[in-house]
Amino acid sequence: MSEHAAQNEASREGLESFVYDDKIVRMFAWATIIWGIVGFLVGVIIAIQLAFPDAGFGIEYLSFGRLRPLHTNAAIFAFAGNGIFAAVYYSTQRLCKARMFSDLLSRLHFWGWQLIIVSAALTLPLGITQGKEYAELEWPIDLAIAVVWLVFFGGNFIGTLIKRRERHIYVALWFYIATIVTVTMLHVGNNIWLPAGFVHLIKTGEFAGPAFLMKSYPVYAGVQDALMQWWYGHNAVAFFLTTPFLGLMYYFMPKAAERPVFSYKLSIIHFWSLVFIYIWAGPHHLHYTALPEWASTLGMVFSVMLWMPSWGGMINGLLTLRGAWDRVAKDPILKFFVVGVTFYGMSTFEGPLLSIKAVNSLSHYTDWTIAHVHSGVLGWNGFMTFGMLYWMMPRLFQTKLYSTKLATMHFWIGTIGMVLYILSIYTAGITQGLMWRAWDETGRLAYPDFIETVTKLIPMYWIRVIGGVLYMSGAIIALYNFFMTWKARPEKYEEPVHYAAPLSPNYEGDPEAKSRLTANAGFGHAGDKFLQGNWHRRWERKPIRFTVYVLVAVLIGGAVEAVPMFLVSSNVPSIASVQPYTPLELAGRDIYISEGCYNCHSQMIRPFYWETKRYGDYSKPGEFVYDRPFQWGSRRIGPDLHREGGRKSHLWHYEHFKNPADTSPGSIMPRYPWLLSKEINFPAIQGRVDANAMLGVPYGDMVLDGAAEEHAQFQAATIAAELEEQGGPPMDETMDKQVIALIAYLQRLGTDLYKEAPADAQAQAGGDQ
Amino acid sequence: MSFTDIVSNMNLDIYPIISLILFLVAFALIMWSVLRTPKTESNRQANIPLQDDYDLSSTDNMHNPAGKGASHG
Repeated sequence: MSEHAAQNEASREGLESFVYDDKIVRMFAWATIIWGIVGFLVGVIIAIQLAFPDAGFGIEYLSFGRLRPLHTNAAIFAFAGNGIFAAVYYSTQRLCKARMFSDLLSRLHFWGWQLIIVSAALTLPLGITQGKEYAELEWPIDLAIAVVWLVFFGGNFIGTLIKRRERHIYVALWFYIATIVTVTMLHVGNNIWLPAGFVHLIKTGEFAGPAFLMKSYPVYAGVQDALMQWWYGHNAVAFFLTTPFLGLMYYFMPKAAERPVFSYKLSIIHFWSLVFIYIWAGPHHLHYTALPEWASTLGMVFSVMLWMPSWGGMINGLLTLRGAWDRVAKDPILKFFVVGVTFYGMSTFEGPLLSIKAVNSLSHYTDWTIAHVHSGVLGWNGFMTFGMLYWMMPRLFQTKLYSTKLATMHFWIGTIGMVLYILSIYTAGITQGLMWRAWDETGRLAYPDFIETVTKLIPMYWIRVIGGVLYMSGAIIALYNFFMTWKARPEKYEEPVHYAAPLSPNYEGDPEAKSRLTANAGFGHAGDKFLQGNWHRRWERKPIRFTVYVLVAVLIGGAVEAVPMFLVSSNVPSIASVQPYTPLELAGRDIYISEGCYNCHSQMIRPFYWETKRYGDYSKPGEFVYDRPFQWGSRRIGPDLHREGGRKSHLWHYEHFKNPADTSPGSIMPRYPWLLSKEINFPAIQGRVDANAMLGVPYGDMVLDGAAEEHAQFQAATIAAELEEQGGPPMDETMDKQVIALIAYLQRLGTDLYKEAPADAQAQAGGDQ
Repeated sequence: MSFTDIVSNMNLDIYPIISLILFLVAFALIMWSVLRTPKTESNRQANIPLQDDYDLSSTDNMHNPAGKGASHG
């Protein structure tokens, strides 16, 4: 042994050796870029469909309503999700000076997550969906997500924190803790359902088809379902698309800039403010809907408060580059990070702005929201991910990046693509909002035909296509660059051995404060110790306690919103005339959900003159008590449908599904020829009714064996006969087709309000009073 | 009297104000604790990411010298 080696050996006495698991990071990094391109491609396809509706070719698996959830799920959970995991696995090991807790859990996490993505890619185009935005995946996949996320990922991460060799838990890890804890809570909270098909199979032994086997109904209905969904939806943005990326920012920006974060203290304040405030802001997605006023105001106030921590974080990120701005001009990695963090600032300025009720009255249901979302996902999430990948790939492949020029080209193409996309859609959104509310000097709507407000946007939609293609092209360039870098990898990856001391179980540094008071007052001593303020520094070394405190912070916000909503009967005043859907209408509603109609049509008329003038009486909370899931939607590419019932003939609807351009020239709705030929799954109808009855819907005798199916067949025959009378095809050709069930549902929408309440319902209402 | 009755009789309009107070109290406490952290300690913490792979330097492109800069608190 040489003298140098002997010295090294001696200096490592008492240290533990370990090797980082970079293979798992490489796997997630590849998945990020590959799924990213898939997600962008689907986005481009549906963007083309909006400008050129026949681009779906009348094929059900390519229709906008089915592909749009695939696009959002791919972008969020496949692209951003794998990007988060790559960042977490790389940085956690290094910040903890420890290999991941379990290689097996790491592999189960990776393959489990990819399996979930593939399941989404198969089920969503098949129309298997819960019909709730960003939570579309059906119950078997939801269960898989819970296991993979919490057990494989969460367990592995917490295990690594526990066996770490760095005493202080760096702030990036706190953001990862918040992500894991809160996403678990959100996912479980928003996915409490009854698996209708599965229960039907167990109860009756009848198998009513694979799609029905995966069908579930949420336990929440109407307003409560809406509140839960947007509590989830908003916080999915917060804790899936924000906190993990802030963790990424606090780790990778200092690495790329080769200097520490501007202010570590500010990062701590940023963390707690964000975790505490974000969770309250969900109801701002439901302004002027049937949600109670107090909940809506709560959401708005906390959204506005979010400005401060978000901008604190952005400023902290940008100032980390102090003294390194000259390098931004040369280094594409820093370029990606600077633009990414700037987009974070812009999106988090715009989000609170959109939550202000007056602004929201203009922006909601328009493309403005879509522009906002894309500035966040493409700018903040996308560019931070690309910056991280460009920094990490050469290190993971232990060679130089193939081409810095290509990386720079990716940056510029991506930036131009984003700007084109976002500006055109901002313009489209504001145009749309202003046209909806415009009226003339006689008090009539200036644009009474909804299609006028759509055709005006087509040029903007084409510009968006160009923007999307550019952004996707940038990602393809990145894939090529990474592939060429990978080709130059060494024959065998070097696996450097690291050494670090284990954490002492008897750590005495920064001990618990001692009271400086002499008076013998217990409360005084406790207060003095608290005011010395080192309690937070102690938390920072205790991962389990820290995790529990984060959970408490997010639970408070969730509970304050949710508990009153579920317990206060006055939140959803019942309306005696509102009755459950008939079995056929229920089946039609499930087709509506399956086709993703909610992606383009809302079912929520807000209490504005221009809305009631266009669509009819504003929506009341009590009208949705049987809606599982709620279908209020978040965007109007087509008109609101809440008062659609009885407005048009069956024949109009039939012809409209066949080819919307025939009944509504200029419409950008795709054709739905399969609805005219596919048969209603009558055997599954009893299972649908039974499941709703189990959730408390008063179906009475309809739950008797075969009663629901028989009723549905009778109603279908009636509608088919009426359709024939109106000049449609012979009833024998249509009475068992899906289009009939869908027409039954549409003709029912919003009509109960004007009906006479059944005698027993009136008696019940009287009793309630 | 059920729990639902109790909650139904609460004045829910005060919820945003309670939330605001809860947040401000939590914020003030965290600020207090954070501002009392010694600067040397927060500088050391801020430098953790820059010291984590100090002996990975087999190629130029991979080399990332440990940062010696100071955080602003």
